[in-house]
Amino acid sequence: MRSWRSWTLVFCWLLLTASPLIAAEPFRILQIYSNNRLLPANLAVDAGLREVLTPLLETGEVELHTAYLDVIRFPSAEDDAEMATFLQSRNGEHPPHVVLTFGPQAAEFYRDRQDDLFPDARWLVGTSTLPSLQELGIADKVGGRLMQLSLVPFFKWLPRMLPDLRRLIVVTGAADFDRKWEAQAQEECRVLPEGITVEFWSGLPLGTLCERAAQLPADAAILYLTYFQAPDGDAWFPRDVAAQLAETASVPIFGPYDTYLGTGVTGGVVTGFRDLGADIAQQALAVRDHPDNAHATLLQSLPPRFRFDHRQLKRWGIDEGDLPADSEIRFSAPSLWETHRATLLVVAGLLLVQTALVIGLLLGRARQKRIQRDLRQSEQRFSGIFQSSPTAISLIRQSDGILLDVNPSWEQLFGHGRDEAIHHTPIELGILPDVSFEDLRNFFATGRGLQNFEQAIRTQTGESRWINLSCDRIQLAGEECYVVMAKDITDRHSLEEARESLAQASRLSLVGELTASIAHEINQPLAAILSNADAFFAALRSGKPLPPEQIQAIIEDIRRDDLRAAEVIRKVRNLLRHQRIERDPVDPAMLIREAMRLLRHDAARRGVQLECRLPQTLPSVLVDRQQIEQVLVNLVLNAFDALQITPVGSRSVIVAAVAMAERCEIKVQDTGPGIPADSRDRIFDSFHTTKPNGMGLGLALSRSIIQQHGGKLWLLPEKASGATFCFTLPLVSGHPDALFQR
Amino acid sequence: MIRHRIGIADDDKSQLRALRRLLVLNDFDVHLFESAHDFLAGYEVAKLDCALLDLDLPDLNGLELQDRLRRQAAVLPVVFLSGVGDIPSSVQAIRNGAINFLTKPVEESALLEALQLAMAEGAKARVEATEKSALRKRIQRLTQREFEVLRHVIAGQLNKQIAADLGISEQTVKVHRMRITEKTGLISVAELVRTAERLSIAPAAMQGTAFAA
Repeated sequence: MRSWRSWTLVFCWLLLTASPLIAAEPFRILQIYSNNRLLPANLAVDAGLREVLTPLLETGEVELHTAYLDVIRFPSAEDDAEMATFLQSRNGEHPPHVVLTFGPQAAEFYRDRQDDLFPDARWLVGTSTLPSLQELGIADKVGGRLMQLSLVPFFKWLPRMLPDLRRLIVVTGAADFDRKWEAQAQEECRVLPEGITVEFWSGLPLGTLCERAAQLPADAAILYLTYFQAPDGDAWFPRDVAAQLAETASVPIFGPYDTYLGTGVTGGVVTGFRDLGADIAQQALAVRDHPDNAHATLLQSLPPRFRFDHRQLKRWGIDEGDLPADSEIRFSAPSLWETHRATLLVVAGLLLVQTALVIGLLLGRARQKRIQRDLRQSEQRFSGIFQSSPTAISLIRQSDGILLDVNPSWEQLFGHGRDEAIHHTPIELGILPDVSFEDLRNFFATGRGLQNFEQAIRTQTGESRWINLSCDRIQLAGEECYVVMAKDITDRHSLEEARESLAQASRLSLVGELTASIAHEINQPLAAILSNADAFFAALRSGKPLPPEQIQAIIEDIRRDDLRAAEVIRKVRNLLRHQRIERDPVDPAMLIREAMRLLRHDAARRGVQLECRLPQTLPSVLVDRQQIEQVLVNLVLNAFDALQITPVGSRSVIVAAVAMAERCEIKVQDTGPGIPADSRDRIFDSFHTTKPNGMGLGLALSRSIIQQHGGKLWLLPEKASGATFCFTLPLVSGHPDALFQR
Repeated sequence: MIRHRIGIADDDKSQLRALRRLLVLNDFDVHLFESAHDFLAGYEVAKLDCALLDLDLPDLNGLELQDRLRRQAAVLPVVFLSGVGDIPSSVQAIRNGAINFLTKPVEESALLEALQLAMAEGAKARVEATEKSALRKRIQRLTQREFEVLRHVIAGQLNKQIAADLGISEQTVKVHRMRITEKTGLISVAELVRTAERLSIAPAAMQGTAFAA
């Protein structure tokens, strides 16, 4: 006993003295955003943060975790609770040192859970106003940077910029946030001189808004604040609305965010989200470097800046001499090539995500800002990137799908020369064999981008190849265009991949195809047996006995057909049972990842964002791995099918797992149209289907597999959108037979 | 007793044998075909009264076979017997004139009922075809001019209007109409109209001022 204790002491001492030698624990930052991952403001804040943190992230000194509440799509308290559970399980063992919240909903979410989640973390806020923090009762608890944008400087300058202005229209959406902006504008517009009347167009449907904006007289202007939500409840990115409004409006549009610049908005007093992201990152690092400062301080807003779009100023005849002295003018390139350069900035930004050019380009871009006067040099640089990029890049006009430019990598990939390619659509060139002109036009009409979409192409020589395709919409010489980047991934579809996808395909389609072939294969012998039996009866009825050899022939046929049917059933059983039914302890996270790997290609092909939300550790479950994989695959494929009518940018499926007392709960949630109310009670019945080509067996089989495992499979009550299926699996420890199963 | 001739197209040999036994015992003259092309090659030679077709044939599917038969103007009632019947194909089959669409396995009573209906329909169609061909022969006896007058008559025109349209005298129109009655044996205008409809003869286009109002 004594010796045991002394050994423990020695061990503890070793641990204590050794610890400084072990690499220092990383400094963890968790950022929580109110909105969607793709909101331009969020992208800009995140980019600003990473500008500062990237070197430290690379060395591992800092870890950055991110969560998006996506409140417009997932508004309920239940969604919040799920997110909290997720954060707890992901970060619980390694809590963040600093939590950053962006937006009021994120702040509210974290306020209610701070003590349960990460009580020791320092809390910094971004993109919040002081009144909103006071309203939440946290103004004295948090540090960070306020984002109080006053419209007063803008209102003061406006009459100088537009001397003829008589009417100012203030446009806002129907979300709470939009209404707060409206209220602020009502308050602050009083500084405008007498001669200008102010009208508030709040929460109008987008169509009406654009129609009315198109008919404004020349002495009017629009101040567009935000439009997160239409009156019918549809969620929008304010930047997209800005673009639509700018396209139709007959007068200049001003706005308070720099993310609007480039959409056709003229400019205004704006907040730089990127600047804010960088600033917050600095503050987070200050917490790391001076952990003793008990209170992080809440800093005043960054000074407002006037930023304008040169092209719009020119369009509306606003003299740059009338702008405030410290205004920043963007897009001020007169030549086509310089507009091209702006385009290539976007191209570069996208490339960064994927390729090793990341850092080189970022630095290039920063440097380029510094030497902005030397236009020629930068022009050459970006022309060089476009020309020498290993990625095939093309520029396509949104309105008619005509190729405007292609780079040498594109020529090499598709086999068409630049001269023969430009002024034609990809459809005319025949490089997209399974896409019609209609498809292309419909896609362009959505104005959405694509990320890592897998697409089959045909080269000039008629060879089929696979590409990974990303694209985004940009403005080029005043026209809306798509920058399309394509990477040849045919080699990735190599032999091994082909074999894998074959195995996958046969596993995926097992249920569907089996049922169809069962029906056919069993029906044939059954039909013949019945006719033979009926023939026998007909003979008996007629009173003319059949000759013995014919009786023998009939019976032989019946026997053979019976055996034929039995053979079909035996085969099916074998397939479904995998012959061996073994239950092994399996890590559910591994099982889910394996199933997701099988579905990855399918997800990319169908434009679905497939996401796993798994806690860091999950207890093992006692299951037949292949069968449960089959259930997961089946549920996710159902979700994919349901998403077919959802627009490409909004297709998402989330697979989440949570450990409960004696079981593990796995959820598959989609953003599709949901299950029709009249089908909800029957979807688990055999042969009930809502799909045009479904057999109605997938869910029935899945449920029976789960039940055989001692779990349950059910459909959660309908929420805002989409369907959620949930099933449970027994934990190894919770299973009464656990010891005997192996 | 007349033995009706029935042709069965199915790719399952066991099914073909069983159906032959059953239908022979029910006094049919049964002809078996293992593919759609066999059927197309042999149905006229066999002088079939009725066809019993599977949907799932190795070369053409049953619906395509039905379509070919229709285009060859075969007076042959069709009954489908299918293992994979779905609603769209059954609708298409019936719309294209199939008598019934049975699914495997089928009971003797249901099969016989459908075949009897098919025989009756086939008989009706043959009577109709014979009558039509007799009528057509009579119409073919008309001269070009008489046929022209006939088309005006069935358009509901009076002799006076016909004369004006064709640029002949009213008396000549009357002579033509008499000849028409003699050659076709059709006396009243109503009979002429009904016959023309059955043979798909188009009435003459309306001319002149009488119809301007």
